[in-house]
Amino acid sequence: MLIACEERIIWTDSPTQIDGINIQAQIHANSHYGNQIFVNQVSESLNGPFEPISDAVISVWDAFGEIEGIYNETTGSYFLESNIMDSDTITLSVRIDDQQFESQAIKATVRPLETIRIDTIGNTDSVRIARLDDGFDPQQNAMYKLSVAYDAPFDSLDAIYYYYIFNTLDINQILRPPQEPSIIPFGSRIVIEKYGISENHANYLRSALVETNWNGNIFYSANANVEGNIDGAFGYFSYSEMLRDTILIE
Amino acid sequence: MSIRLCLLRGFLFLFVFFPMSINGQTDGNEIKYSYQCEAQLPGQVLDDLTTKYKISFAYNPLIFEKRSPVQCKINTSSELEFIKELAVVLEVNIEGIEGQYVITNISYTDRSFEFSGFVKDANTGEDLIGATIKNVKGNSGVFSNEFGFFSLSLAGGKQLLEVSYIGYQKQRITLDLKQDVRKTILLSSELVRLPSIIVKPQSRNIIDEEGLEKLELSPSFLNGLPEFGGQSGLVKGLQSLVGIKTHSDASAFYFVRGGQRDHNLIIIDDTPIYNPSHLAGIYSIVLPDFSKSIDIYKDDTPTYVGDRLASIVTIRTKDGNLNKAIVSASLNPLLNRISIEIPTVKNKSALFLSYRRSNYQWLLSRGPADNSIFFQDFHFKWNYQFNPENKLFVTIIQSEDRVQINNFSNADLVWRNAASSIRYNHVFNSKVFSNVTFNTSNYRYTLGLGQNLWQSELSSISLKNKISHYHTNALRSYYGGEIHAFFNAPGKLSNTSGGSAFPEIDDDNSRKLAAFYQTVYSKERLKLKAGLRYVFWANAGPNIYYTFDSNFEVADTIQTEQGIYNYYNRLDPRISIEYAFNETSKIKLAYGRYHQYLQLLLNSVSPFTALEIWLPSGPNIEPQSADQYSASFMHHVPKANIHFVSSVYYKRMDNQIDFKDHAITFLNPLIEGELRFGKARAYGFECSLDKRVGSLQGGLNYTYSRVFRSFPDINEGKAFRAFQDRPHDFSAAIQYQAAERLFLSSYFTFQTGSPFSSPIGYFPLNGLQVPIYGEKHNDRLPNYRRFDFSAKLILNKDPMAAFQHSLTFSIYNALGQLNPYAIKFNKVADEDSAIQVPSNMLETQALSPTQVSLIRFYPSISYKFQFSKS
Repeated sequence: MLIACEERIIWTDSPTQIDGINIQAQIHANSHYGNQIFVNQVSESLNGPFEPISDAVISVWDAFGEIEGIYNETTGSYFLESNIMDSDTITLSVRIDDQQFESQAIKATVRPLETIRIDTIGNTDSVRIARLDDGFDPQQNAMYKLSVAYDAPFDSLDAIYYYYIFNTLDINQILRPPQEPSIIPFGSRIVIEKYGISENHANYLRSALVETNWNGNIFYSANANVEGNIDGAFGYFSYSEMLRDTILIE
Repeated sequence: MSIRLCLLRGFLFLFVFFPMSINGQTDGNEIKYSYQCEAQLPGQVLDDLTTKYKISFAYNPLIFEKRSPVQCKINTSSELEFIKELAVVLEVNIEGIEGQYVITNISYTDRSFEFSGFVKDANTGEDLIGATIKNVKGNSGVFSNEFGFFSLSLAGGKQLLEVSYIGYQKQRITLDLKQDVRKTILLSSELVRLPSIIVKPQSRNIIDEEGLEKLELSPSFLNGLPEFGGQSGLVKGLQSLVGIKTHSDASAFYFVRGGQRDHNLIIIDDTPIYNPSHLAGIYSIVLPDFSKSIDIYKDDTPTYVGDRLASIVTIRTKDGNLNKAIVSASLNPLLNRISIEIPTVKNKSALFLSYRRSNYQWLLSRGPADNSIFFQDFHFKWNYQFNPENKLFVTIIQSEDRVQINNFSNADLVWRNAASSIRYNHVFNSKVFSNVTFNTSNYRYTLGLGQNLWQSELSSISLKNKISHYHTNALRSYYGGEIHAFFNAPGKLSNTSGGSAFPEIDDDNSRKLAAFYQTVYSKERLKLKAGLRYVFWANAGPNIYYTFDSNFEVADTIQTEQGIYNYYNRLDPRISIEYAFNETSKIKLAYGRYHQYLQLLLNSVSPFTALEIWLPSGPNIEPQSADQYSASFMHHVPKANIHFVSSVYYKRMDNQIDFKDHAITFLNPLIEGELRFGKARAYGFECSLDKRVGSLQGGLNYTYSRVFRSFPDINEGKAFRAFQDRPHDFSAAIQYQAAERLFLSSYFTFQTGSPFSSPIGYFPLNGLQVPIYGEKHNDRLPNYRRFDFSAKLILNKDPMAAFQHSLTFSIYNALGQLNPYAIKFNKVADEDSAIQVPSNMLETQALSPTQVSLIRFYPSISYKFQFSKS
């Protein structure tokens, strides 16, 4: 009776019509791996659908020229036809029908990979990923993407976890709501990618987390839109170094 | 009379008077006039003097016909002085005319005298605030001030006065005024069965009421409201008054006439309390049993009170029983209190002590592991009356709260209040009363996260003198000054392991110098108040501060030396005019300008405080300001003892503060760059119906109000509904004495839901669904409704027994209404129905809208007892 009670409700979506484009282009400079760009419609409803836009004309310019984005039906996203070569700045251009979206990004550096702590879960045959570095490091902004495949030959993914490190502390981050545990069975393979994040990109990601996974505990900020860096569209265009590692849970 | 006799008298006059006078002039030191008598009739005194000094007196013997014998001892070097002192002893006029001294009766009726003193409770010796002292025939009257002092000018001779105070028996006093009189008036309380019930209603003349000046929350009425977990909280009680809105369940925040959360100030015995809440608002540190009066100013705020834009709550605590020792306690499964009142010197000095402690662990042990909630507070009050003109008070209040959340954050929240005041009252004369106050206040907020400790602290010390000057019955004025020093540490983080470096947030020191003057003129049906408050606000170094350009980027870093590096001067005029149409109705118009120099920066809309950051006005933050216009009407129905009050107001607020979207407020030395400045407008209509006497008491309140804010950088510069824009607000508090020892109380409230921003769309990001918002505060939470109920049974049959005890059963939110304070769109529910944010971004599990509410159907039972001994 005393502790907050949270329960599901039936909610009627806002009658406001919204017609917007979302472009998520997190480009890395690691020449060994490809880059993926998502272009889709925003949704007026919670849980989408977020219809992918398949007929966009996407180009990224690095110091050596234009790289086109090729649409993949299976993933509903675009892959750059070649990797980014050694450049400090890149430019994005997305054209959809008569709409043109452009942005520019400066490469963000990345610090070495931190050790990821894996905790066993009692007497089970599963492990849990402990939070990385408690999310605060005054020396860096970074994002970890952990792609998990439970079973060999690890052709398909079973889970993706994101962890963020920021050089600022947010009250919503300190007292965030409960989160589902990350339960990974023994025998899984985890591909760890660490992206450097620029200050502006960190601000964007932090704002998005304030509106999503950090929202809903006893302290929470006033709601507001997350401002990206692509004029006329939602989303963000970023460019950074990326480090990658693979571990097996045994 | 024959010519011979006249000549003889004239000769005697020349021979006796002039030689004596001449002797007096030529050699005054040698001539000594000395007369002494014990219980001598006045006529005999005069005969003796005629014999001894050959002084001739002429008078009508009837003057002394009914006079009592007098006692005198007069020694003077001159005849003139001797005659003057003789006149005082005999209480007559003596005038020298043509060689004789002509004696006449003194006429007191054409002279004015001061009747002043204190009004006190005959049983406890407590000063009674706001008692009415009036001249029955002349219809002039005054109210006792916050220390029970009054001063009334009356014509000499016989006067009949009536002293009244609600809950006490009226008293009539007959005076025969021949000089200024100082008196302590003791009023006896009405015969009561229960503390908060007055059995015998009194008729009230509305002209005698101060009802339009402020709201009054009677501590006994507050105590009578249904309890939550063993206590009627101050904030819950304030919300039962018209025009005061709640934030939500279990919140210490309240809103008054469009103001923000920090636009309200609570002052206890002249000491500010920056966070009066326990347990995030469920309880308050103010004990109803410790309070003597609780006054709330929403407009027409006196210039000597303070600097806030919305409201000031001034609380006077009890002085302690001067006549007998009392031990009282309240026992509840969640909260226990014990209090002691003892006279340290009978009729002169008393002590009041109270300690309260929570007991939530047994309840939390059933919930998530290792969570912990604890609070305690301590109150101390001592006073000493040296003599009728001098009295000293000492008040100390300390409180501590601790909340540990160990299930996922391992956070440890602690906040502490420590406040003290020393007050000295001095009565200069029958017209001038002084109150000097020295106070200190400290508020500290600490957040522990593992090895990291974040702390924010605000301290202040001040010295204030307020003079109450009762010029005439119609005219009184208040003037004085105050000096404050504020020491503000907005946020410091330390790491016990000596780990990563954290940004330093510099401390802020400020000084405030205020001078105030207020005059009140009341004559017959008209009352006019006018006042001015001047404030000099300064920022003191050494300090480092930043200036910002138009894009809110740092433009410069300024390092200041010791001394003042920035200041503001502000003038706050206040004026009101009140007119009584007759004994039952009156109207008031008021205008006031207000400034605020200390602001709470909160980028949280949750009901609970969140890492409080107090910042003073400075180079980047101008003082907030408000202009309020209001009109009120009051009507009293004497037979039913019902008061009706209605008000309309319009308030314009400038230099309002908000944060930019997703501001970084924690450990940010550039936090002032996260602030945005704008305006707010508020207007509303309030009405209330109150009945505060009789076996059935209560009040009905309704408010319609709107609040809009506009900032150039928020909501694209368009005005938006404020969080506290809750147009309809209705409440009903009913207290009923059902039987001799059974007291029932109920409280119902309804408020329009608070505005919030609900999404109009979403876009995906790394598996998250990021909301898209349109207009700020485009939606509203569900309306808030709550019904509380309590029943109190007096267990002792004799209401005057030395040992009294009672049992109170309460239900908070008796109808089990869910009142959500937030609606979220970011959670999933797992197989066990635990609602959490998702972690696996590959799973396409659906998010569910959820609502969060706090308290639902909360019963409590308390046992209270009191033992007194003379």
